[in-house]
Amino acid sequence: MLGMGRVNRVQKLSEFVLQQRGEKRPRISGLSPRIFQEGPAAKALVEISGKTDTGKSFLLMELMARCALPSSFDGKGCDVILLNLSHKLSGPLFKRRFLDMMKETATDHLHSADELNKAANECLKAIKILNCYSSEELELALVMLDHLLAENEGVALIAVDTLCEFYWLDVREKRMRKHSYYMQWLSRLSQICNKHNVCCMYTLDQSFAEQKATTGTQLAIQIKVDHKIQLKLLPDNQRTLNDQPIVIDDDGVNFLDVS
Amino acid sequence: MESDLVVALGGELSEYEINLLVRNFIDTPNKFMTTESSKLSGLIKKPLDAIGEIKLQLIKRHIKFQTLYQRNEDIMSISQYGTGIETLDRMLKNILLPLQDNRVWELCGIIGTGKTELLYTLAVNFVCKSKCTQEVLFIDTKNDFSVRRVHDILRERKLNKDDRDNALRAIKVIEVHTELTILAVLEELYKKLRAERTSPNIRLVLVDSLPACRVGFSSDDERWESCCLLTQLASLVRRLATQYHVAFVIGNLCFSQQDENVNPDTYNYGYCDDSQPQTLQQDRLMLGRYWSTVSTLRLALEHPQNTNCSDDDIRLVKVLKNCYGPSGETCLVRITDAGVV
Repeated sequence: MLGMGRVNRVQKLSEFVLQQRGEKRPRISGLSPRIFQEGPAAKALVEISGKTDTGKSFLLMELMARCALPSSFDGKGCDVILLNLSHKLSGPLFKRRFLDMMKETATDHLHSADELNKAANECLKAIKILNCYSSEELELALVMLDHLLAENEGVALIAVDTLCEFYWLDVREKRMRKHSYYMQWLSRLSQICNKHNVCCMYTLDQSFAEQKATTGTQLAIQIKVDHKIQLKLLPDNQRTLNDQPIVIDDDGVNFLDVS
Repeated sequence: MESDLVVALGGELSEYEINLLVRNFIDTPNKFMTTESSKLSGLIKKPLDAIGEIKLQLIKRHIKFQTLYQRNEDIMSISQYGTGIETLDRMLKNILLPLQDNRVWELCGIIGTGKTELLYTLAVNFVCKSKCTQEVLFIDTKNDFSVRRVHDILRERKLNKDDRDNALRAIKVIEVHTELTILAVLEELYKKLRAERTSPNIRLVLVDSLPACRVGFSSDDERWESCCLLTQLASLVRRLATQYHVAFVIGNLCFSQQDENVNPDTYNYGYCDDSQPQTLQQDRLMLGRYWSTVSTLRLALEHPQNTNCSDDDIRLVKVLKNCYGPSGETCLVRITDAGVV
């Protein structure tokens, strides 16, 4: 039988261990200076929002790829855990992107196709996926995530595509505004990020990111989002990221410099 | 996840311990998972480590965890069968998206462009290519599946009677009238696949077409319910595709923005607040914005406008959306007695 005093001591000890592990995690600051300036810092929450077909999942994939890429290829060389709710991100697509990124940054010709292929496979191994098909499974995945982060100090990023995927299922019984629903899940993620000193990036339909006026009784939890990235697809097919023109193609997501 | 705590934890906890949990309102595996480990430890007098281990085992039984590398290897080992339509396969190969296991595609077009004909052709080509060893599930929401037409397509391909009969047997047609029935059909398929733990014999599901079984909604409650059903359907389709490698081609209707006979408020649900047309295309899609996020490839079937073609049987197939690469590619196909070629 465990006394409560011992339980508290065990908890404090595990918190200490977690804190130490968290401090050892690789950093992903400087991941994309045009988007984050110096950041994103550990524990940062990064919201990627936009309407349908604006390239949210693609941008998330790009940022995940840069995290998983080894530092010798200008990446961050860290592990990533993906909570896969939309089931769109594909292995072959990631592999193609890894190979392209490695070819872009390789400064010499010492890398044979075989070597690059092996390195790309290692990058794929650095991305761990938890598949979820309902919010019940997402709940379990968050518990699993907590465990995985405690075990693995190489993970520096949690990625979620698409955070509010199960909104319509969950609000069947109890109606709730989209923003409040979003904040509930974000609160859970934020706790995990703080506990394990890890950054989280997630995609989100634009309608969840917009907070509509609420009555006094409906005040939602408010979680501070450190970086908000809004993607738009304009009527002339021009894409923007936080109102700056971008191009999304085989070379990834690139800013257009308008002189 | 099983709702019975005994079924889920019977191997790890004694009957007495489970009763203790139930008396404290921890009566489902989900409640067990979300209760603080220290509280559980205090209740059933087990060390924190043991509680953590039980939780982990419980999760591992329900959440599939893999690296992207393993997933990539899975995908590399699955079957690529193509559409069997030469020009279309060439275009899809160019964008690195051949028809294969675990695809979720959408086929859209206005009424009368030949979507059903294309779906018949996909069904026939698939069963013929697999020599009828694998089956197609054809979900007919319009209740107008024409066995005669499929038979004619098979006959035009000079198949003998036995092969024609085998092909017809390998195309399982099911008539449904509502979304709930589609859900029930797919749930049944999922249960079967989960129980058998073998490669499914049904590898391709064709839905002709989803909007046909959705009724107009007169109240907010009905619209709300409809959004729930659509999300449920999307989750199930994705589960079948990613876990069991079943491919889906789902018909969707679109209507011209100039078409004044169609009231978008009647059809454009999904995310109900969406009344804006899709930016990349002239026509609006039915089923709304939520559904448009489900498929990874959306193909449109259109009457060609800018080609110098006066042939009524020619159609333009256009990539409207491609999650994994460029969109906008087009190819021409022809509707013939032998199906779409």
